[in-house]
Amino acid sequence: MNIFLPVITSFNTFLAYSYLCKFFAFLTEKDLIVQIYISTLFILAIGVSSLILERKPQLKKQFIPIQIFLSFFYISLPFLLFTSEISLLASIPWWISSGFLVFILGSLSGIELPFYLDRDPRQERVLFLNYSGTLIASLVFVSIAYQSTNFQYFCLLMGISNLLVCSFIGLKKKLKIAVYFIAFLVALGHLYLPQINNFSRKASFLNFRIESINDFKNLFFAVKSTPPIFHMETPYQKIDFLPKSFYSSENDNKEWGLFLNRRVQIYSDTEEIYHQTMTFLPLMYLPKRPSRVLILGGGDLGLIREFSRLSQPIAKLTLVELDPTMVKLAKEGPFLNQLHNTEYKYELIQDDAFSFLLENRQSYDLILADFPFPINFDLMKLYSQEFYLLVKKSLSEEGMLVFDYPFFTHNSKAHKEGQKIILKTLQSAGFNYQIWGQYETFVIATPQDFPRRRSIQTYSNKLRSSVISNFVNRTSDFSYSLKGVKINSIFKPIREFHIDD
Amino acid sequence: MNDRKVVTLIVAFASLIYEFTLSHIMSILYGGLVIQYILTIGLYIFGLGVGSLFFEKYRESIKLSVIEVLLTVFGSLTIIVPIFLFKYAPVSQLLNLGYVFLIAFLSGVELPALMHGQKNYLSILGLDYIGMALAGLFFPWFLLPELGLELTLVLTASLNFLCVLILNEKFSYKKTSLAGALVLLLTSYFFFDMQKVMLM
Repeated sequence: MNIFLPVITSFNTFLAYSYLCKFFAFLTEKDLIVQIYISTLFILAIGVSSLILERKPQLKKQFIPIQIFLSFFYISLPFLLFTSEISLLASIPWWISSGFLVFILGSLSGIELPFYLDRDPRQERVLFLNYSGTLIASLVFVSIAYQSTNFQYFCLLMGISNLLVCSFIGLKKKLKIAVYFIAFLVALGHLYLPQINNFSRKASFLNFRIESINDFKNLFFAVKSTPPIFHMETPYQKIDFLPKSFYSSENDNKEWGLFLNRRVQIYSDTEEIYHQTMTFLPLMYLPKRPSRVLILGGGDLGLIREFSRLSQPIAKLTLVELDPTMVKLAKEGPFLNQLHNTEYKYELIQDDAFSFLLENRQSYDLILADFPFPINFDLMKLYSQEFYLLVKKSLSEEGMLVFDYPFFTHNSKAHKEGQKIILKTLQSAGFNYQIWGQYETFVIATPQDFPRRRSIQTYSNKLRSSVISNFVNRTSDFSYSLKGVKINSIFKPIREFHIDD
Repeated sequence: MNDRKVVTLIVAFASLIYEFTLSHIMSILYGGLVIQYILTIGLYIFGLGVGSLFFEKYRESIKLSVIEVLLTVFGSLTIIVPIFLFKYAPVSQLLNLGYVFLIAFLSGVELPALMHGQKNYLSILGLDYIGMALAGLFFPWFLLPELGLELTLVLTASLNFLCVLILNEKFSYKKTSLAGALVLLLTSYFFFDMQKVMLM
């Protein structure tokens, strides 16, 4: 038997599984739950398949039809995922659509290994080749295929290579022609993928709910009537710029909103409130001008811009950003560069903020954490006790930490629980805190007692009047009782962290 | 259910818990939860394969209890080793993936060893998959958020230790290695504060 056959089929199976993990983790924002659910179901489906084969060994003869089906499954994967995304709008739970796809994949591919073992007496070799395909797939996925721009090419590669395996094993001539022709037709459908992806992107931003067939028509017209979205994907996130008319009744397409993983980060017409409050709030408190400032996140360079506007520059301004594309967008555009009209002097480090602090040996007078809200396990570590302890370790004696505090006008009971967890976790790491901001809320924290603060009037020449009105101390509004509230730790993360906008 | 079946259920559960723990720790240390999980699961399946190949070659000289003792030892260290490697070793990510492989390799030896000489190995295989499914069910919903990683790990390693007692096989230096594994198991939980180690 050709040594490539088990490698190819197991490679394709594992790559498809990896894509399913990635897609549903992004779609649901439940990264850990999705990952473990899909992985377990995948392993279970392979197991069920091998158990069925033990009872009905004649099923191994169906290897070629099953492989043909799997080939179409791979080639059609972008369309199947699109259907899953739309079915979510129709209130079909993610675990049903993902479970369905994973179970099909796992149970059908479970036939592969027993089939090869039957054909080749050198069982060890077959096993090794099969498992090597899995390993190669995981490495290829992490290094190249993880970037969604390559997704459709990999789907075609998986589908065609699986068909070639069928041909090699033995496909009748007429069937071969028919199968390749149908595969070609399905592959042609990939030409429409940009439009399909654009449709699902817009539909999800419109937050449509489909309850009847008429809602489909409404969705179609709603999507058609909205302005185009500028979209790009990096290995770390999906970046979208939406014109204001998309999310507001004002028909103003000069202004825009930046969305990361479909969650709003900044609006171009109000971003100054966010960035200026975050920058000038600690300056009111710090007894002397900070000489070393660390910005974690903040690749839009809004905070760098504000520090660069100070009359005396900061001696050492360091930005730690995981995604270099954000910084590139801020420098070269589109959209984000409109917020900047000059070059700034700062040190850029491309790293995960948590990993950076783990290895950091320097101390900073001020640390600003400009992160998305903790909506999944990956982000929750940036709101954990260990993270705050690492920040504390990296602060100078009178140093301060500022971060965006998730507060919403529609603050619900569940939101409050999330807010309490953040405050309790911060407190458990030895920080005193205050909460500021009428419209954009921030936590300012210090391991020491809060020093006497200056009036915001000191910086009035640097701030817009709309920004000054955000400088309201709201600590008393959030004077929750923290007794019995859980602490979020990386070693014992909170399962339900309802911070959602 | 006979002893061998109980052991199968336990070891399948334990091996996947170790891999989930390693994925979780690596996602904290290096970022990117989905990437770390896929890398770990890929390497885990590969390790299982290599482990079963190894068993095929050396089946006569392999004692299942020895594998369980080794898994108790390496399993107990599943949090501390990645953190130490991250802090003090060059190419730590590669070394940590090596650790993933080591656990998967030992787990890969287990299943064929359990099936070896059994007439009805179908039920062993079925229980193996059930054990893994239980791990997938319990880890995100109960073990991680309610017990935390450290307690989860010490309980899981204790299950491997329990398997040695259930199997009741004879092997060289049995008492010494059992005592050593037990001491390490307890030390790793009661004397190592993982948070302090991480923040050192």
